[in-house]
Amino acid sequence: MEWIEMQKQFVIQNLLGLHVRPAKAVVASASQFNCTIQIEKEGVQFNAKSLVGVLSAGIKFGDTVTLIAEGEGEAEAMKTIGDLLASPIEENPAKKVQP
Amino acid sequence: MLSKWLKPKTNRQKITLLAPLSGQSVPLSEVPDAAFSQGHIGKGLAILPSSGRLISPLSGTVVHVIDTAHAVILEHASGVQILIHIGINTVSLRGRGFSARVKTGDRVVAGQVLIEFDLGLLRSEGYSAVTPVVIVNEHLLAADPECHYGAVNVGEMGLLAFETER
Repeated sequence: MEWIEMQKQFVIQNLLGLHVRPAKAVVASASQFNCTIQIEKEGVQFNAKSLVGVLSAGIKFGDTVTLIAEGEGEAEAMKTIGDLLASPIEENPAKKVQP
Repeated sequence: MLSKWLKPKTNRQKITLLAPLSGQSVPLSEVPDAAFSQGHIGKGLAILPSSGRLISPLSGTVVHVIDTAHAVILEHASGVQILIHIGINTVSLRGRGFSARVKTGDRVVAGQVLIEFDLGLLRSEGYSAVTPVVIVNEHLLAADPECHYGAVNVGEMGLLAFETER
Protein backbone atom coordinates (compact mmCIF):
# COMPACT_ATOMS: atom_id res chain seq x y z
CA MET A 1 0.00 0.00 0.00
CA GLU A 2 1.23 3.43 -0.92
CA TRP A 3 0.96 6.23 1.56
CA ILE A 4 0.55 9.85 0.75
CA GLU A 5 2.39 12.24 3.01
CA MET A 6 0.11 14.24 5.28
CA GLN A 7 0.95 17.61 6.73
CA LYS A 8 -0.62 20.34 8.80
CA GLN A 9 0.54 23.55 10.47
CA PHE A 10 0.30 24.33 14.17
CA VAL A 11 1.06 27.36 16.31
CA ILE A 12 2.82 26.39 19.53
CA GLN A 13 0.85 27.26 22.67
CA ASN A 14 3.34 26.23 25.36
CA LEU A 15 4.60 29.50 26.87
CA LEU A 16 8.05 28.13 27.54
CA GLY A 17 8.32 26.46 24.14
CA LEU A 18 9.12 22.80 23.58
CA HIS A 19 11.70 22.41 26.36
CA VAL A 20 12.66 18.99 27.71
CA ARG A 21 9.39 17.89 29.31
CA PRO A 22 6.94 18.90 26.56
CA ALA A 23 9.45 17.76 23.92
CA LYS A 24 9.52 14.33 25.53
CA ALA A 25 5.72 14.28 25.53
CA VAL A 26 5.78 14.82 21.75
CA VAL A 27 8.46 12.12 21.30
CA ALA A 28 6.51 9.62 23.43
CA SER A 29 3.35 10.33 21.43
CA ALA A 30 5.14 10.06 18.07
CA SER A 31 6.99 6.88 19.06
CA GLN A 32 3.71 4.96 19.33
CA PHE A 33 3.29 5.12 15.56
CA ASN A 34 5.02 3.18 12.81
CA CYS A 35 4.88 5.97 10.23
CA THR A 36 7.70 8.49 9.83
CA ILE A 37 6.89 11.70 11.66
CA GLN A 38 8.77 14.95 11.20
CA ILE A 39 8.33 18.41 12.60
CA GLU A 40 9.35 21.15 10.23
CA LYS A 41 10.35 24.61 11.39
CA GLU A 42 11.59 27.30 9.03
CA GLY A 43 12.12 24.76 6.26
CA VAL A 44 14.17 22.33 8.34
CA GLN A 45 12.75 18.93 9.30
CA PHE A 46 13.41 17.22 12.62
CA ASN A 47 12.63 13.65 13.70
CA ALA A 48 9.62 13.80 16.05
CA LYS A 49 10.59 10.41 17.56
CA SER A 50 13.91 11.69 18.89
CA LEU A 51 14.28 13.95 21.92
CA VAL A 52 17.40 15.48 20.41
CA GLY A 53 15.46 15.94 17.18
CA VAL A 54 12.58 17.83 18.77
CA LEU A 55 14.83 19.89 21.07
CA SER A 56 17.09 20.76 18.14
CA ALA A 57 14.15 22.41 16.40
CA GLY A 58 14.27 25.02 19.20
CA ILE A 59 10.52 25.53 19.08
CA LYS A 60 9.25 28.59 20.97
CA PHE A 61 5.84 29.87 22.01
CA GLY A 62 4.01 31.24 18.99
CA ASP A 63 6.20 29.46 16.44
CA THR A 64 4.44 27.93 13.48
CA VAL A 65 5.54 24.38 12.81
CA THR A 66 4.44 21.81 10.26
CA LEU A 67 3.74 18.26 11.32
CA ILE A 68 4.48 15.76 8.55
CA ALA A 69 3.59 12.07 8.70
CA GLU A 70 3.90 9.34 6.10
CA GLY A 71 3.19 5.64 6.42
CA GLU A 72 1.11 3.24 8.48
CA GLY A 73 -1.24 5.03 10.88
CA GLU A 74 -0.43 8.49 9.52
CA ALA A 75 -3.97 9.87 9.89
CA GLU A 76 -4.17 8.81 13.53
CA ALA A 77 -0.66 10.11 14.18
CA MET A 78 -1.57 13.50 12.66
CA LYS A 79 -4.62 13.69 14.92
CA THR A 80 -2.91 12.54 18.13
CA ILE A 81 0.29 14.56 17.81
CA GLY A 82 -1.54 17.48 16.23
CA ASP A 83 -3.89 17.72 19.23
CA LEU A 84 -0.83 17.77 21.49
CA LEU A 85 0.98 20.45 19.46
CA ALA A 86 -2.17 22.59 19.35
CA SER A 87 -2.52 22.41 23.17
CA PRO A 88 -0.43 24.09 25.88
CA ILE A 89 0.92 20.50 26.52
CA GLU A 90 1.46 21.33 30.18
CA GLU A 91 0.37 23.92 32.69
CA ASN A 92 1.79 27.37 31.94
CA PRO A 93 4.09 28.63 33.20
CA ALA A 94 6.11 25.91 34.91
CA LYS A 95 5.71 26.18 38.65
CA LYS A 96 8.61 26.27 41.03
CA VAL A 97 9.05 23.17 43.14
CA GLN A 98 10.65 23.30 46.54
CA PRO A 99 13.46 20.82 47.20
CA MET B 1 36.10 -22.85 26.87
CA LEU B 2 33.79 -24.21 24.19
CA SER B 3 30.92 -22.10 25.50
CA LYS B 4 32.86 -19.05 24.45
CA TRP B 5 32.47 -20.16 20.84
CA LEU B 6 28.91 -21.32 21.16
CA LYS B 7 27.62 -18.08 22.58
CA PRO B 8 25.62 -15.98 20.17
CA LYS B 9 27.67 -13.20 18.71
CA THR B 10 27.02 -10.03 20.61
CA ASN B 11 28.87 -6.83 20.61
CA ARG B 12 27.85 -5.54 23.99
CA GLN B 13 29.80 -2.73 25.49
CA LYS B 14 29.84 -1.68 29.11
CA ILE B 15 29.92 2.05 29.69
CA THR B 16 30.61 3.62 33.07
CA LEU B 17 29.94 7.26 33.84
CA LEU B 18 31.84 9.46 36.21
CA ALA B 19 30.00 11.77 38.56
CA PRO B 20 29.26 15.05 36.71
CA LEU B 21 28.66 16.91 39.99
CA SER B 22 29.49 16.64 43.66
CA GLY B 23 26.62 15.97 46.04
CA GLN B 24 24.23 13.16 46.86
CA SER B 25 22.98 10.79 44.23
CA VAL B 26 19.37 9.68 44.72
CA PRO B 27 16.81 7.54 42.87
CA LEU B 28 14.75 9.32 40.22
CA SER B 29 11.67 8.63 42.34
CA GLU B 30 12.87 11.39 44.67
CA VAL B 31 12.80 14.03 41.93
CA PRO B 32 9.88 16.47 42.47
CA ASP B 33 8.72 16.27 38.85
CA ALA B 34 6.44 13.47 37.71
CA ALA B 35 7.96 13.26 34.23
CA PHE B 36 11.36 12.45 35.72
CA SER B 37 10.28 10.57 38.85
CA GLN B 38 8.09 8.17 36.89
CA GLY B 39 10.87 7.53 34.39
CA HIS B 40 9.06 9.10 31.43
CA ILE B 41 12.11 11.10 30.37
CA GLY B 42 14.56 8.21 30.75
CA LYS B 43 16.30 5.80 33.09
CA GLY B 44 19.04 6.84 35.48
CA LEU B 45 19.36 8.75 38.72
CA ALA B 46 19.57 12.29 40.05
CA ILE B 47 22.15 14.27 41.98
CA LEU B 48 21.45 16.83 44.68
CA PRO B 49 24.38 19.08 43.81
CA SER B 50 26.66 20.74 46.34
CA SER B 51 28.48 22.84 43.75
CA GLY B 52 27.66 24.56 40.49
CA ARG B 53 30.12 23.07 38.05
CA LEU B 54 28.83 20.35 35.75
CA ILE B 55 31.45 18.21 34.04
CA SER B 56 31.05 15.64 31.31
CA PRO B 57 30.48 12.12 32.67
CA LEU B 58 31.90 10.56 29.50
CA SER B 59 33.85 11.26 26.34
CA GLY B 60 31.56 11.86 23.41
CA THR B 61 29.66 14.53 21.52
CA VAL B 62 27.40 17.32 22.75
CA VAL B 63 24.27 16.69 20.69
CA HIS B 64 22.19 19.43 22.28
CA VAL B 65 22.62 22.34 24.66
CA ILE B 66 19.24 23.83 25.47
CA ASP B 67 19.36 27.56 24.64
CA THR B 68 18.76 28.53 28.28
CA ALA B 69 21.78 26.36 29.26
CA HIS B 70 20.04 24.42 32.03
CA ALA B 71 20.21 21.09 30.21
CA VAL B 72 22.56 19.25 27.89
CA ILE B 73 22.41 15.98 25.95
CA LEU B 74 25.61 14.02 25.32
CA GLU B 75 26.09 11.11 22.95
CA HIS B 76 28.50 8.25 23.51
CA ALA B 77 30.12 6.58 20.48
CA SER B 78 27.65 3.68 20.95
CA GLY B 79 24.78 6.08 20.20
CA VAL B 80 23.52 6.14 23.80
CA GLN B 81 22.35 9.64 24.69
CA ILE B 82 22.45 11.07 28.21
CA LEU B 83 20.42 14.04 29.32
CA ILE B 84 21.61 16.07 32.29
CA HIS B 85 18.92 18.50 33.44
CA ILE B 86 20.01 20.98 36.14
CA GLY B 87 17.21 21.61 38.60
CA ILE B 88 13.46 21.28 38.21
CA ASN B 89 11.42 23.79 36.19
CA THR B 90 14.60 25.85 35.80
CA VAL B 91 13.52 26.53 32.21
CA SER B 92 11.55 29.37 33.83
CA LEU B 93 14.81 31.15 34.77
CA ARG B 94 15.28 31.63 31.00
CA GLY B 95 19.03 31.18 31.24
CA ARG B 96 19.63 33.34 34.31
CA GLY B 97 22.31 31.74 36.49
CA PHE B 98 23.51 29.30 33.80
CA SER B 99 26.61 29.54 31.58
CA ALA B 100 27.26 26.88 28.97
CA ARG B 101 30.95 26.14 28.38
CA VAL B 102 30.25 23.94 25.35
CA LYS B 103 27.96 24.15 22.34
CA THR B 104 25.98 21.71 20.27
CA GLY B 105 28.32 19.66 18.07
CA ASP B 106 31.37 19.94 20.34
CA ARG B 107 33.43 16.84 21.07
CA VAL B 108 34.07 16.56 24.80
CA VAL B 109 36.30 14.42 26.98
CA ALA B 110 35.23 12.97 30.32
CA GLY B 111 35.79 15.58 33.01
CA GLN B 112 35.45 18.61 30.73
CA VAL B 113 33.32 21.45 32.14
CA LEU B 114 29.94 21.59 30.37
CA ILE B 115 27.90 24.17 32.29
CA GLU B 116 28.55 26.43 35.27
CA PHE B 117 25.56 27.49 37.30
CA ASP B 118 24.69 29.58 40.31
CA LEU B 119 23.44 27.11 42.88
CA GLY B 120 22.72 29.95 45.34
CA LEU B 121 20.47 31.69 42.80
CA LEU B 122 18.49 28.50 42.15
CA ARG B 123 17.92 28.09 45.86
CA SER B 124 17.09 31.73 46.55
CA GLU B 125 14.60 31.70 43.65
CA GLY B 126 13.00 28.63 45.19
CA TYR B 127 13.93 25.98 42.63
CA SER B 128 14.96 22.45 43.45
CA ALA B 129 18.53 22.01 42.15
CA VAL B 130 18.18 18.24 41.90
CA THR B 131 19.77 17.21 38.61
CA PRO B 132 18.50 14.11 36.78
CA VAL B 133 21.09 12.20 34.73
CA VAL B 134 19.09 9.94 32.42
CA ILE B 135 19.53 7.85 29.30
CA VAL B 136 16.98 9.16 26.82
CA ASN B 137 17.26 6.45 24.15
CA GLU B 138 17.08 3.50 26.48
CA HIS B 139 16.08 1.09 23.70
CA LEU B 140 19.83 0.87 23.06
CA LEU B 141 20.44 -0.60 26.52
CA ALA B 142 20.76 -4.33 27.16
CA ALA B 143 19.37 -3.92 30.69
CA ASP B 144 18.51 -1.27 33.23
CA PRO B 145 21.52 0.83 34.26
CA GLU B 146 23.32 0.10 37.52
CA CYS B 147 23.10 3.13 39.78
CA HIS B 148 25.30 4.13 42.67
CA TYR B 149 23.45 6.10 45.32
CA GLY B 150 24.92 8.18 48.12
CA ALA B 151 27.62 10.79 48.45
CA VAL B 152 29.40 11.48 45.16
CA ASN B 153 32.44 13.58 44.34
CA VAL B 154 32.73 15.25 40.96
CA GLY B 155 34.91 13.17 38.62
CA GLU B 156 34.54 9.97 40.64
CA MET B 157 34.12 6.86 38.47
CA GLY B 158 31.12 4.55 38.69
CA LEU B 159 28.06 6.74 39.22
CA LEU B 160 26.09 4.88 36.58
CA ALA B 161 26.99 1.87 34.45
CA PHE B 162 25.14 0.24 31.58
CA GLU B 163 25.60 -2.18 28.72
CA THR B 164 24.62 -1.34 25.19
CA GLU B 165 23.09 -3.77 22.75
CA ARG B 166 25.57 -2.95 20.00
